[in-house]
Amino acid sequence: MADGDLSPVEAAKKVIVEFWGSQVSAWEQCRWAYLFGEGLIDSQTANAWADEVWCVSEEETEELQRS
Amino acid sequence: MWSGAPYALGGFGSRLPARAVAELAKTEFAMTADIVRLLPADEHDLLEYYVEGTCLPNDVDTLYDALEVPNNATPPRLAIAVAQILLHHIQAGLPQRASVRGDKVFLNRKEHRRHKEARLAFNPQLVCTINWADSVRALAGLNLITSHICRASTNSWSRRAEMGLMRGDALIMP
Repeated sequence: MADGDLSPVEAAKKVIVEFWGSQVSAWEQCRWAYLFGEGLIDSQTANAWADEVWCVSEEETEELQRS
Repeated sequence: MWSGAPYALGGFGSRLPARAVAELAKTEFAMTADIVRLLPADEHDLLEYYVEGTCLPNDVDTLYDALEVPNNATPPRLAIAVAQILLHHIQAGLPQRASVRGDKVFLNRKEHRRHKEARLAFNPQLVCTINWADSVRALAGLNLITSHICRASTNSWSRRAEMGLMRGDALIMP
C-alpha cells in the first residue's frame, strides 16, 4: 500500500518497485524481459522503474560492451 | 465505499426530526430500511484490516473459508482476500494459465468468489503488464503479470486514501 497523498503514478511506483525489489532480495529475481502492455504507465516509465531495482553499474555496462 | 445513510456520518444532507420521519414513513415513497449496504460488513472489515493494518479477529478464518481464499499460498490470506474483492469484476480480463489434457481444459485460476450480498464493483486501474519470460527459473515462454491499483476512501478512514496493488499472473507455455 502507498500513502493516499501520493498521485496514482507515484503510489503505483512505490508499490511496484517495492515488490520487484522484494523478489530480488528473496531469490535474486532477474529483471523482467519486456513490457507486454501499457496502462497507467508507458514503456519508458516501466523501464525507468526497473532500472532503479536492477540498476546496472557503469562498470558492468562496459564489461557487457567488451564481451 | 461506505453505502450507509449519509446523515449518520455527518455528511451531506441533514438529519430529519423524528416527527418528519414518521410523516414520511406514511407516504408511499418511504423506504422501509434505514441502510442499504452495497459493501457487506465482512468485506468492509477485511478492507479496513488491510488498509489500517489492525489486528485480525480470531474468527477471520471462517470468512476466508467462505470466500474460498487459499491457505497454502505464499501471500497472506488477507492480501488474497482483498485482491479477490477488488479484482472481482475484472478477473475475466486477467492473464490466465490453461492446459489441455485430452478433451478437457484446465485453468490455473478459478473464478474468485465474493460475498453473496456484495453489490459494489470496484474499478482497479491497470498499471502495466510485464512478461518475466525466461527470467523466472524453470519457466519458459510467456509469463505475464499485471499490476493494478485501486483507490479506496471512506469516512471512517478520514481523509486518507490508500492504494493497494493487486496482481494477476499467468503462465502460457509455448
